[in-house]
Amino acid sequence: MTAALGWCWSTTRPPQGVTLHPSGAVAIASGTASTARERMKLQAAIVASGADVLPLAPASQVSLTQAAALSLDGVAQALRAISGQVQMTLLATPQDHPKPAGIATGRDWLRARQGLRDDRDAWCNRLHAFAQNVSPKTTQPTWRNSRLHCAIMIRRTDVDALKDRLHATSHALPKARLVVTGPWPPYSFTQPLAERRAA
Amino acid sequence: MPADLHVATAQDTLRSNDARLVDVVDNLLAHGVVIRGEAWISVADVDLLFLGLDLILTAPDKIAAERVPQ
Repeated sequence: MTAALGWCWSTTRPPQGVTLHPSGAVAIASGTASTARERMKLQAAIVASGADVLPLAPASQVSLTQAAALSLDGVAQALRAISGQVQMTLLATPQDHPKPAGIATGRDWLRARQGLRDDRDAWCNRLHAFAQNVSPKTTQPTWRNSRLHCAIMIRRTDVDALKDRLHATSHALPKARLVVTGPWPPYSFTQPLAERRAA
Repeated sequence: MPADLHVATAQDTLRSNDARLVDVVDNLLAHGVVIRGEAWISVADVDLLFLGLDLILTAPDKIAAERVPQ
């Protein structure tokens, strides 16, 4: 099925598999995709082609007809805000996570839980500081499946330099496995758009 | 000891079966633009009433995970 992927500038040259439907300066990007991953692949292809895209959440299935019917405020402004920028994700897996041991009483258990929380908070702060050292536009790290996720926004032209910089500064994040992925559409740096209807 | 650093493109990440990269993709799926509905009830071009409706286009499990128990 044809799914809306997000919005691009009307002057964008779409990659293979993506069609643009211009409406003034902005165009709805669409493609044949029935799963979230397929939509994500097409959105990533737009970014890889060097174009800006304001992405709809891939998990949401919005038809082209639905997207075209929306009367949205602020699309052009939101596109301008992310123009020339891409998202990179940082995934940190701490290697020295403490494992609670010698728990005999409820108090021991509470103390162990507190220690674990403190350790997780410390890792959050460490990764956040590391990310902010790379880019001021950073999301707050969050835990998911014992891994820390964080996103940063950088200029597209800085992607290659970022990889070198991360290699050079990786000593600032000791005892961790760090996976850097991207460039992605700016999924974590979009604002809600308002649909205005008169009644 | 410096961090053990790996770099992957978006395309490689989407193709990979590595649990860490799958986790990255799963984490991104629910992010992106959401649409907020706004209705303005007006008489003679004067806005009298505003109705706001957040139409969150996201994965159901994401909503369920963030719902505060009553």
